[in-house]
Amino acid sequence: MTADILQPLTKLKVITQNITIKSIQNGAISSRDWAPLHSNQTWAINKGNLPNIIMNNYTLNGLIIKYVTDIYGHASRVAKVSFKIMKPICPETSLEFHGHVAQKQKIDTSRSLLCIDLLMQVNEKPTASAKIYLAVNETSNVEDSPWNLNSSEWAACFKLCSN
Amino acid sequence: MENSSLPPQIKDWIGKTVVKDSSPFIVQSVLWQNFCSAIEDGNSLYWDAEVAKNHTNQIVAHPALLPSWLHDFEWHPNRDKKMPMQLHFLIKEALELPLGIVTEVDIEFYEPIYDGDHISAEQKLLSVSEEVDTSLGKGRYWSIEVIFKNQTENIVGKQNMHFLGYKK
Repeated sequence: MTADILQPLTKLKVITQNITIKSIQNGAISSRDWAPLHSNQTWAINKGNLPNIIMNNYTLNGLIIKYVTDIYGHASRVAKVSFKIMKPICPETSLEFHGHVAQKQKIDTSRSLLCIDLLMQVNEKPTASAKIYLAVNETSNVEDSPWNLNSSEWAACFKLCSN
Repeated sequence: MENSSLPPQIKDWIGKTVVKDSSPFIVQSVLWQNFCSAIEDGNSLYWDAEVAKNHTNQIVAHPALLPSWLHDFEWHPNRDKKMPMQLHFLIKEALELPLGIVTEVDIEFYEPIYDGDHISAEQKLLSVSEEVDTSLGKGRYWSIEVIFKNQTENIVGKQNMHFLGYKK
């Protein structure tokens, strides 16, 4: 992890996720979300009044968390995710993830809590947005992993999430 | 239907825990790894015990799956089918709004979830909006808070979900 991705206002890399019928169905089924709007195109269009099957919220949340942990590494620890779906996410689209560091707050001398603002776009139009709070270790000592914070220390991080 | 004309059942539910639920099975790593495979998430903490031991002692579940530990298989030989987020479906039925989608989610992750954990949840109705006109149809927005606990009654997460219920 390089120091530049810890600084507020830093733009993070843009990644593109190809959304297919199979990926939407696979995300829904592997999260045991059996609602037909995520797996049955006929139902989604004719009964759900939707343009097609739509990505379920577990899959979107999974992709949001993957976006930040891919950048900050497996030892980063997500505290909170807030996301808003502005338009249904449908198959045969490319979902672009545009993130930037909105805020950095110290947890202790070795760890910080980052706030990442994320915009997800299809065809350059906003489709969903998210705010992610995640804790990172700023040292090379594995003992300082945010996963090693005890329960009360971790609970204290949530007070920073609303700042 | 204005808020003042909400069904008495809905008015009574606002601010209360309406549904208490318990996972139909214990958490199993292969179930979360199946989800990680679907979204192609190779984070070592979900897959590799050797890496995970320095951080979480053992591999942990993908956090995005937290609410889905309450979801049963689509079919089981001995268990009746039960809808996940049962309170959402009770509200849809009471408001006669047959269709519903998630519009916003806030989710906090406390204790990590491990293989062998048993998760329970409490669903509380926070609010119901007045009637709205949307591109999908007429409906209402509502918010549900869910507190998730493990088998030792420690809170593993908290979720506020915002829904739109509508009809064509």
